[in-house]
Amino acid sequence: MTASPEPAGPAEPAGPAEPAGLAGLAGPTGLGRRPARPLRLLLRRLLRTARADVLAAAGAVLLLAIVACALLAPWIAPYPEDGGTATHPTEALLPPSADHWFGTDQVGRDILSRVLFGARTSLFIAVAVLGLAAAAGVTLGVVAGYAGGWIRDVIMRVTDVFLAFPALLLSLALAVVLQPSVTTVVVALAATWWPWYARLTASVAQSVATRGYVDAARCLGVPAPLIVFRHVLPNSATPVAVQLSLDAGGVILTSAALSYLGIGVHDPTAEWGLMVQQGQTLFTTDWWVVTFPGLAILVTAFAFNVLGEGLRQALDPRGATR
Amino acid sequence: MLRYLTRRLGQAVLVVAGVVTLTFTVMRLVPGDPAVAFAGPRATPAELAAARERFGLDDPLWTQLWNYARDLAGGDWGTSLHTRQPVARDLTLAFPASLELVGAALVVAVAAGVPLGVLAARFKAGLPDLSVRFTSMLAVSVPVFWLALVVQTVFAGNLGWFPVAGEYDSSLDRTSPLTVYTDITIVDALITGNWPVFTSTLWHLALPALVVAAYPAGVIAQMTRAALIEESGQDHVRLSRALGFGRTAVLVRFALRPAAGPVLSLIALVFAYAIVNGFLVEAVFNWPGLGRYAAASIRSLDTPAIAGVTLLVALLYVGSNLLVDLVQGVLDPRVRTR
Amino acid sequence: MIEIRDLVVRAGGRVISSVPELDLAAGRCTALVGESGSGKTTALLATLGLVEGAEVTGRVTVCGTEVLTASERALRDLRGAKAALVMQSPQAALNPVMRLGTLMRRALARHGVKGAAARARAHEAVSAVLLDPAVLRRYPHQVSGGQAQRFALALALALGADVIAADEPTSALDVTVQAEVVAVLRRLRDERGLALLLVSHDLALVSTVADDVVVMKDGRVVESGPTARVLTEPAHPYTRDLVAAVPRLKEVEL
Repeated sequence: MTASPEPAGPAEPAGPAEPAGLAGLAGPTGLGRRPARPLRLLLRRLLRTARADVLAAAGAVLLLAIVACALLAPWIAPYPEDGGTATHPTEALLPPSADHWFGTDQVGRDILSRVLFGARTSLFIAVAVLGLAAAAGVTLGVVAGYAGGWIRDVIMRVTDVFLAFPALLLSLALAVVLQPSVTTVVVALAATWWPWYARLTASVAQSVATRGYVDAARCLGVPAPLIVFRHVLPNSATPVAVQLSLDAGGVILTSAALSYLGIGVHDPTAEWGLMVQQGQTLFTTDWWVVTFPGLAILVTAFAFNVLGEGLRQALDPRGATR
Repeated sequence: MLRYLTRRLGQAVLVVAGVVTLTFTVMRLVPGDPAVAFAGPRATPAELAAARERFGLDDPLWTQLWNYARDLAGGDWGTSLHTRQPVARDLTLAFPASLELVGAALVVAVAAGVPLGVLAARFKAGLPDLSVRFTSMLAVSVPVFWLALVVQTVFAGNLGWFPVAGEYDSSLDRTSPLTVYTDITIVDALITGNWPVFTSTLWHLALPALVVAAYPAGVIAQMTRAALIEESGQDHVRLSRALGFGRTAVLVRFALRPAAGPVLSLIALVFAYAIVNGFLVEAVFNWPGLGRYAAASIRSLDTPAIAGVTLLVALLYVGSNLLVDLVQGVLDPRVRTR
Repeated sequence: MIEIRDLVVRAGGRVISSVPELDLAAGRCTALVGESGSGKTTALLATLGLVEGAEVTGRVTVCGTEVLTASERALRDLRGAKAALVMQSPQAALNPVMRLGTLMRRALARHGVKGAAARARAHEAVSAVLLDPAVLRRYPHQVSGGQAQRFALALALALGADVIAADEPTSALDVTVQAEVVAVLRRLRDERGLALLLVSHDLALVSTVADDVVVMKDGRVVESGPTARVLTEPAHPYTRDLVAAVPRLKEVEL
């Protein structure tokens, strides 16, 4: 939606959730005080959703398992040294067995171990990209929404421009122009994801900035940065969290695609997209080399996506009444 | 309507200007001298100077940006380093095949996604809803390059139901040569009645189009579901129930039209994304489209060509969004009278 | 036309609406009165079998159809053709991307009236509610609230409904426009013998249109009887409060 008038329909899957409604989660507040967040209410709503929304609950459990795999990879991987530089040419391309559940790759490394280590790479990239994107986006969004006027217009038009470039393509172009490396991938992906956060925060900030208690605080002479810190940021936290979860799946898919194209992560670092690329010519004869890393990408992206979708429905007051 | 049109067009022009500026900026970030890249590492200082002169590299940046934009508008998109041909010409050769692939994929995606979304909304919270949500989530979560490999290996390689790669059987070029009008093979075959090429293309198109369709079909199903559920809460839907229509009829005949707006915008959003996703699929199925050109350009660090592809896709994105807003203006009487 | 016995609607174990007894004959009007949340709208929707996400018990007979036990098929034939709904917000109740005439045509076709017969019925019904047949070519956002509400009544007329269930039909309208709609409602009741089930918190409207009043509070009926008696000699304290609030409003309006 480059420059569509005002988003009319329900929030789109890839886009920001309805921020005005979400901001309404913060309860009634006193003059100039920080809005009281009904945390327990929020938790209860989440629990209720988990019972009602089997998919989202499954996503949360899956995600916890994946994070555990990533953190514990060196200890739970059957052949931890295979996550790194080790090679065992004599054991190349063994099919799945009791010793190697997912088989071995063309240089004899245990694929299960590499899949487990690959979780570290993917999650690291996702965290780094979204951290950068959210930091930049939220900052610009707060400025845009709070300042309003031409500053807001300029920032919003810039987000339009960035959103016109599909993430994978801009990352490709940047990766060619800059040196191909993990840092490049992270910067390139962050450069394509920040506009969503800017838009989201800008609309929350705008709706908050026009509320009575913020006006009141402004009249009392509370400095602008303090108002932003106390009112705008807390109100943006929930929609941003939902958006982060929804975007994580996309970041993982795109970074895997970049690795598949040979940009970014290099062997011997274990990365799922790279593993698929290295095994693709062997697919017809040695199916396991490609199948398991691909499934790992699928499962991780799926976990993030269903969790994000579930969170959005649980935290959106309109979704809760469905 | 006219005011809405002008405002919408004005916004699009602004975004295009931004897109051109950003592309220019990214190209300028290239480490190394573009003159060296063009003239080659063993060029004499005189040749280098000539190259600098030719590309206007000694001008101030603003002038260069202005010249760049003027050249783009005039159809001069630079010269590819690896094909040594004008980038614009390369793109017009490669783009139709990509359009063919993505167009077919979007047709499949809409044909599958909308009915699935209706089904899920009709049986909200029931088993059909859960299955549709599960399947659509899988569809948006699957890495497209991997899916392409799996589908190719299973259905083309092992089962042999479909051809492994290519756009159509090249031996047909001798037996039933194709007259080219639009450069989109399947369309040309259809309008010239060249059935051997048509069926062969359709056959070759099936697998890659299905793979590219997975993501759009998933998001379209989710969006249709959400928009219909949102619309079902409206009074006018309750009124149509009160007029004696059944639940399914209400969804299909009364709620779908007003819910179409967000779904249409989504299709525009997904179009450019599907083209880029198509790059990965094109690589696997050796489809002669933009993806192959982009891959070759990346391998040879061909900056003008990369910039051309990037610019084209971004312009397509802006264009398709504009088109959808205009179509919505025609479809939705509330926008039309604005 | 409408006969309700021991109607109870429960949601999440809580009674949200209960009506022990209500009878409505042709050419009569009964008003359900009460504050928002009193369960009056739920009771109204129950007569059309349109209550969702709640458990409904008792017996509701509308035009000879047992609403709570009837098949979905029978209910669909009942809705519109025999009992019609008129909603509070006239424009939100009309499909925003559909011409009024298209809605009318589809509704008539649903109940077996097609072609020239449908066109004749549509024109007749629209004229009967004092609208120009040209509104049939308009979209909801191109007509006024009063026109939209009268069109909703025209829909009921065209389909030949014997009962109109109207949920706050005037509260979203300007005072001057309210009078138009009220006039049409009264004409339909007096000249065409329609039975009118009205939900409203506007006692001024109720006193001019309704023959009987049912006062509801917190999902229960607190008082019912002929309008004249209930409004002049309210027995229940809550009804007294309601009635007492009206003159004050009138003073403000004057």
